Amino acid sequence: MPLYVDLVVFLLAGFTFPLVNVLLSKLVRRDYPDPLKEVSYESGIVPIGDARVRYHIHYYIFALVFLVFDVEGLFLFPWAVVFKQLNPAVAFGEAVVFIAMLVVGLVYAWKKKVLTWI
Amino acid sequence: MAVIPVQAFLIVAAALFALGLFGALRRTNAIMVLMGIELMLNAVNLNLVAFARYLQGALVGGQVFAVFVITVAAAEAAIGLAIVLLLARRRRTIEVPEIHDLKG
Amino acid sequence: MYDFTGILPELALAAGSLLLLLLAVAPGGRRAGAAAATAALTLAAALALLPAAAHAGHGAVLGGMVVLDGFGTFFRAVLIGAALVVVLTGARYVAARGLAAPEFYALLLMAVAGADFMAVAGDVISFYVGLETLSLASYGLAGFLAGERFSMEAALKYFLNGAVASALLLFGLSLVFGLAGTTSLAGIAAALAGGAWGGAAGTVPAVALVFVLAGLGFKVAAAPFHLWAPDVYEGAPTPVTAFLSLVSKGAALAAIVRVVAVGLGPLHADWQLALAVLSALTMTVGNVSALWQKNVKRLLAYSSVAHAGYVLAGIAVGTALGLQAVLFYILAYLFMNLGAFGVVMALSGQGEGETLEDLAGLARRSPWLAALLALFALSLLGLPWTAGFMGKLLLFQATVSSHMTWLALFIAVNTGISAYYYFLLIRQMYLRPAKSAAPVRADAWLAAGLAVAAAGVLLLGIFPQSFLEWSQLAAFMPLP
Repeated sequence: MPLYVDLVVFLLAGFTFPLVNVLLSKLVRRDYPDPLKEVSYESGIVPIGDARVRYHIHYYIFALVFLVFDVEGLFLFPWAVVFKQLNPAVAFGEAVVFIAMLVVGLVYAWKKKVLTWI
Repeated sequence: MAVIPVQAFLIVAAALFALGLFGALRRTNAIMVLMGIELMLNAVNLNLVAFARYLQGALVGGQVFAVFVITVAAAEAAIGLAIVLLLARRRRTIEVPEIHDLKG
Repeated sequence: MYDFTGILPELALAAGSLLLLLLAVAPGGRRAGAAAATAALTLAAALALLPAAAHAGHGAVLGGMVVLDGFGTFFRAVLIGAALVVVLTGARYVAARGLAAPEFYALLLMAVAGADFMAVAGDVISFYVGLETLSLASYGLAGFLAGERFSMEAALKYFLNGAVASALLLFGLSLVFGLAGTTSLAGIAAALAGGAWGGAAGTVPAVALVFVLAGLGFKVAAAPFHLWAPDVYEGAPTPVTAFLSLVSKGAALAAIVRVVAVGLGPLHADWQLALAVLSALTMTVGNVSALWQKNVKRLLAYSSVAHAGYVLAGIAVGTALGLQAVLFYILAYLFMNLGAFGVVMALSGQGEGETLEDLAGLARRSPWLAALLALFALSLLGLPWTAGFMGKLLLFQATVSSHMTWLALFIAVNTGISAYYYFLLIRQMYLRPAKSAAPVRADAWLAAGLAVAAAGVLLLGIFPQSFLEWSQLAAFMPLP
């Protein structure tokens, strides 16, 4: 049970701290509204248009390729964990074969000009 | 500290699976169907890692299986999205009930 | 280090597939002929490597992921051989329709490698990865006529149905894993026989079985999970339709034997009845729906649904005799279906329609093609001296000797129903006037493929002895 008391205390503290600070600054500061202040922050560049734009179709293909390569990397984690218990030469060779297969896919995507942004 | 029984995980997984199946069968937007399918696969993963945690000596099999399910799910999503993308470009719709020229 | 000799054919297929991907982006590598030749040579190499692989060991190899036995070797030979014939006979179609040839054949080789792994799987994981390799490649293949709306629709329907099916199957497999505590199919069978979670009498094993059967039922297009099949078969490019009806279906049937009949063997009281009902339903629904089809590919799709039903009857019997009937029937089905789709390929390869009307008067336009299609239709129906007849005879024997006479009756009645639409096909070709006099031409490879199919149908029908012995040897499996 004490476990949950801790949890509740942390939760309360977590909510109270930002809330108090926001209210405090609201009380202390002076208020000068300005439309420029309401603009969303884009690293100092003046934002163009709306966030809801149609992305170029190319973006999706790019994303698909990323999705696959990103997850295939997952297989290297269990391999790395048990590497020391394996025969190093064999284990390394097997990983090289695995990565070589991914490289073939990468070469294909590259030559198909998926990676060049237009 | 009390141990959460394996049944709890199984119930969550079954609920997740049912939600996903409902979404996959009920939704008309192809992307939403795809999301339902992903939910179902994640329910399977939850089952696998829960069993792997609770069964003596079955740790590796379950976790390896889960890793394969995750990667295959990504490949499946990629293929599915590619098909939906091609359809969207061609038909200007991804509502499944509107795509029904084949019948007989 | 593991000895990889046992999976040499599959390694060759994967290497060929990667080579084709590189060929696709190499300068001047995009010619359809070069890609088709690479694919055909890879498949031929895989076939040539099969004997070495089959003799690399007996039983579980590669950490239990693969089981080497007669059953697996039989299916690998059938699957690779069928794919080879599809590649050769479909080459003109692929070139004429302007399909992206290197990618097409790369996906096809990957699919065959996956199908092979389903047939030799000794573990739930290798089975699942094989299944998905086959399925994902097939979704792509179905949509390969990217310019045509039917093909895209077929791909979408196939993908959505297939993905839901594999999720169902996986959920069942995750429960099975939880029951048995192992992913090895032999280990699962042992744990269930040992009474884990109530063993054969338990509720959880039965629930898991339902999920697994539903998932695999989708893949073989067994009724009531068959609804995707006609649409996909009609919309997909014709060589892909042939591929799906042979390789995809064959691998799924092999997987049912591996996963259900062996892995879940101790539950045989449950799955026997379930498969028998599924089988009766599948053949009836397939044959009755085929009666009013106008499109030949769609008609053959329903006919192949019905044939999956016949094969399931053999698996449901669950004896060595039943399994022998299954293997023989799959071999027969391979030849006659390959032939039937080959004739359709000849039609659509030169841009003609694929409806029954388009077949009218084929006997006058191209007597040979018409005669061959008539032979394949008669074999699909199961007339004596054809492969289909011997296959059905074996199924009869197997079902009757296991006291499942009602299932044998279903096969008989369904054969009667199917006579209507197979004769409709023949009547169109012989008794209807042709709309044009232009002959339908088959290129040399397609003609050779058709000749092989016809020879297979007649050999299996007239001299079945050596094939019977072969299937008997391959049927040697640890059945319950």
